Amino acid sequence: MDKKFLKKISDYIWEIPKSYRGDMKVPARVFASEKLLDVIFDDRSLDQLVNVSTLPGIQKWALAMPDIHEGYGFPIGGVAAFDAEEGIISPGGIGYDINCGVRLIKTPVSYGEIKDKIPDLATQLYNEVPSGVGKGGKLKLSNKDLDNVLLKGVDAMIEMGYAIEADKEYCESFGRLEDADPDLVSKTAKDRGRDQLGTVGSGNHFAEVQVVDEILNKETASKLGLLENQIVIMVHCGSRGLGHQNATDYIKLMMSSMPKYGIEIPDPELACAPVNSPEGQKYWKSMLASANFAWANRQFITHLIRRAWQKVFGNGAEELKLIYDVAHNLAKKEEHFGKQVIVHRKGATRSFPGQPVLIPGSMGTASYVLVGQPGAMELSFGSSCHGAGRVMSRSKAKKEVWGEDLKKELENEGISIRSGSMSGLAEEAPIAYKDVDEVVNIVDGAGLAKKVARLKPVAVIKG
Amino acid sequence: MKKSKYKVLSHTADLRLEVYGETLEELFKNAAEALADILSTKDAGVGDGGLEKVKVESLNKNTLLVDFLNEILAKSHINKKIYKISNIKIQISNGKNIAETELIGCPVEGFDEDIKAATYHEVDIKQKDGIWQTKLILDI
Repeated sequence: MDKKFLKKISDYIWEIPKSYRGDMKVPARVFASEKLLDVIFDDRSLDQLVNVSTLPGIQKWALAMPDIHEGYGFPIGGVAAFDAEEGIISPGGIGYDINCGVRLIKTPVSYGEIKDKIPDLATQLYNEVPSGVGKGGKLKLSNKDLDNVLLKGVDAMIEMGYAIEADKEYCESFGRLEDADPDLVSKTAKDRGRDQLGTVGSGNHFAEVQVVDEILNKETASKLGLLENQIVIMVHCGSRGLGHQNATDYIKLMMSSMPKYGIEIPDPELACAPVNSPEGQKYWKSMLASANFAWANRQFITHLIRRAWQKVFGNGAEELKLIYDVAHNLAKKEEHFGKQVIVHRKGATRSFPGQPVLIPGSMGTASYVLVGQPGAMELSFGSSCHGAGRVMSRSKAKKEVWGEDLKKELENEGISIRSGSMSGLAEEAPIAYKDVDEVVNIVDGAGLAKKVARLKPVAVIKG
Repeated sequence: MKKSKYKVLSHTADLRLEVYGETLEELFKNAAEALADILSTKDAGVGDGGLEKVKVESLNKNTLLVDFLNEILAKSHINKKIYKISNIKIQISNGKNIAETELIGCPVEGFDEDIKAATYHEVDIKQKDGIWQTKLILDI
């Protein structure tokens, strides 16, 4: 892929025309500034986007958000909509971590009020919320309870006493997708996730205590209950081993069923099936169940956060309320341009007008709260970016950064770090990511989502 | 000089490997060893006794490697073990693509990396200068 093949549509939209490759069914578009475009060309993500544009039933464009980077099958930051009757569904367009997402919780206190207690809070959160790989959670689910979680998501957490009714009001889709079928999630997937409810995991997943650094839209911030200098808590994680295994199971199934439907794809990780075929429907219903598991996971973590808060401050846990919870690895049935479509978002956040959009930055840098705009409905099937987006491999980051040095550096900036792995910390060093300010300015400038508030970390808890 | 079993190549978000083997069996064994090394850099020590048998069938030799690794990965996560290959037999003939192995499980406290899956992306097992090799991307 060369920059000369890109046509400038606007300051923030670039198009790869359908004529670029014979098998493209629609053009591909990337949301980027000219400066960011140069970074995007450093990996093969745009070639992967072109591959997406070849899939059966794709509508209008294969899209890439400004945090696009190389994945497998779909690029990370990829969005595509497929005809809900004639189109396909592809597990690789959602990713292995089904319903990986972000939750933001507001607290009733300001940074100044609890500044001295932040290290204690960080330690307590690290002790209460299991992070790291292979670390089991505090909840051991029976088969019946696990199936209930897969069926009902946050509603199951309410039934079990780990959530209040108000929690689900502030989750995308109220933290529960209908039509989920627990029986279509394999025993292996259930066994892999059984003890992981309420665990953050590793990689770029985290819990962070943040301070509202700047209000950028007073009216919307006020509606969300966000004030300058307020302490908030952000959680980023997904469906853990259960979702990973579910994707593995169904990519394998679709690989073997594609010849039956005459589907040919340029990359096996784009394995797919007609959405209304038996294979497509099985994946759809198992994906919804995995998504419900992810919402329950973030909910149980919220319960643990409230417990940690209570232990440190002695009161106020009930004042920890959700601002919102968004998915950024999910397919949803939606109406766009007067048609029912299955929108695949892999590393992309839904951005319907008025909906909060949560964008975590890299560790130690700013995160943002935005609000969805009408432009997203016209340009991106109601989607926005999901983070800063990596630019450096994990192995290179580990060569260039010492975890211990990074920890000291961040602690000198007033950020408490609690991490079980120094190499894991190095992998997530800020230099491994794009500038989140630049990424967020593009979605704001393009009219996909509007900036509401900037958040800065004061404590990072990760595996 | 010791022969290279695998090497780590650059990838923005995930882990791209190139795996080698003088035979297909050795390639599969080295790929499983890479998986175990990435899951845990600590010496997993001796096995806990007993061999665990695994048999995987797939569409072709490329998908067989990925399905084989995903089978081991799921066992690792569920049983909290790192697996070493005791012996392995690969059958690629008469439309059959089968890997049969006996695994030695070594219990671990936790893992260093959260490998979500071995992916089919870029897997293309070929013989070059007498050495079987392929790229392999692990989602982490």
